[in-house]
Order: sequence, then structure tokens, then C-alpha cells
Amino acid sequence: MKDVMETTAEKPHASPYGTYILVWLCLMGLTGLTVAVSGVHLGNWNAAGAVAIASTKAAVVIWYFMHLRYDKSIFRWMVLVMIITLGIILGLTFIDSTVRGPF
Amino acid sequence: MEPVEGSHEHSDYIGAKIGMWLFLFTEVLLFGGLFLCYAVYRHRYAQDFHSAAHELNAVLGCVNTLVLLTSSLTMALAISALQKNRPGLSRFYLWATIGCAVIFLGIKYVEWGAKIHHGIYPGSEHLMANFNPGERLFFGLYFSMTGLHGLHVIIGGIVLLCVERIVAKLPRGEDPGESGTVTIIENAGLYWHLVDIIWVYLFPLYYLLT
Repeated sequence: MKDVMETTAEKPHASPYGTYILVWLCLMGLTGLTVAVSGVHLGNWNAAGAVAIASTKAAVVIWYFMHLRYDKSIFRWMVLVMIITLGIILGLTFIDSTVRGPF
Repeated sequence: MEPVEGSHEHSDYIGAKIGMWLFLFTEVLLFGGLFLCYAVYRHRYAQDFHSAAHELNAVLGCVNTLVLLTSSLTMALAISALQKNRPGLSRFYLWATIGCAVIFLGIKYVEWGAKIHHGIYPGSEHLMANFNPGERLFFGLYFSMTGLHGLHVIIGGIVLLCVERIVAKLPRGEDPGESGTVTIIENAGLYWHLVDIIWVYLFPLYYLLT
């Protein structure tokens, strides 16, 4: 019984085409938003806003197009560990370079 | 001997996908290092990065973003079509994705060509004489990061061509899921989507922060 269940769980999940069209429209909208936001002068917040919108788009691509939503939970954990690792490497090195003073 | 039910030759679907994700993580670290470089120098030469970004053509950058996002859609549709055992439709979407890759590279060629024509490329006389150190760094990073990304688009396009051939050679009536072809197209798709995600970050950071 257990074997049968595992086999069905391993079958790839086919998503409806309509979902993908909606996701694509959402990505197009977010691209428009990032262009619009860049026209407003917010100083340092422009860069933060650009990265925030890009991260939202990346999350949408990973969640729907890269099937993380439908896959086994191990993939979600792997991606989470990767994002945290990347965050530590980039974040700490960047902070280090800003507080250390001139090269 | 009776084959055990549920076990077939190409059954390690999860294992193959984990392997692909691990490879993608190494790609993320490769580009992550370059994004870190960008962040450190942008922080140090904020004004130069702002003025240098004016030189880039935001309209072409935006069009390229829309092209790559659309290619991600057609890639996802190609995978869905094969999962639903419709190889003909899947091949149509694969060609659409490859077409988007070619358009992207064509626009990139025009962009780079215009920059090089105006004497803006790493180490050029014009760049060394008329631009600040921060602006030179901006263009150095622009060429290396979009260049490395463009290389990934080329490799992705070749991978998709190979996948298209594999799908075309599927024997009639064979379930693509059983033969492992679905695993192949899904892993190629994962790579393609990652290439798209990297561009999603490159576009605003280089073209829009003026």
C-alpha cells in the first residue's frame, strides 16, 4: 500500500494552462510597476523598491512556473535554505564592506 | 522474475529534480557574487552609477524583460502540454521559447553593438578618458553580468533545441512520463526559468536606477 502511494506522489503534476496565463499577466503588471516606480525619485528607496519588486517577480516564477507550489515539500525546504544562505553571504559581506571604510 | 509494481526503469523523478535544483544553487551563487560586487560598488559610487545608467537604453531593456517573461510562460506551457501527453503542442511551445531566446539575443546584440560603436566597452580609450572611475566600474559590471547572462541564454536555447529533438523522436502512443522525457523537459524548464529570474534582477538594477 505504501509503495502505491509513493508512486502516485512522484507523478508530475500538470497545471491548467489558464493559471500560467494569469501568472504571466501578473509578471507583466509587475514589470510595468517597476518601470513606473523608477520614474518617481525616492533616493535610496528606488533601489530598495526595484529589488523588492524583482524579488516578488522571482517568487512568482519559482512558485508557479518552477512548480514549487506543486512539488514535494523537500524542494521548498531546499530553496528556503538556499535563499537564507545567499542572504547571509550577500548581506554580511555587504555590511562589512560599508562599515570598514575606504579600501 | 515479476517486476515489482510501481518500479520502472526511469523512476527516479525526485532524484533527478533534486540534482537539477542543486546545480541551480551553484548558478545562483555564481551570479550572487557578481550582484554582491554590484551592490558594494553602487554603494561606494552612488552618483557615478546613477549617471552611467543614463547611457543604457531602458526601452530595449524593458522589451527584453517582456520577451524573457513570455518565454518563461511558453516554457511552462510546453511542460504542461507534455505532461498531458500532447507532444505536438509541447514542441510548438518549445519553438516559441527558442524564438524568444533568439529575439532576446538579437536585441542584446543591437544594444552591445551601439555601446561598442560609441566607444563604451571595458578598457576603451573613450571610457578611460571621459568617464569617472565609478562609471567605468558600472560599465565593466554591465558587460560582464549581461554577458554571462547572455551566455546562459545561448546555453539554455541549445538545451531547449535538444529537448525539442527528444520530444520529436518520442514513439507514437508512448507515455512521456514513463520514458523519462517529462523529467528532461522539466529540468530544462527549471534552468530556463532561472535564466529568466536573473534577468528580472538585472533589468531594474542596470536600466532603471537613473
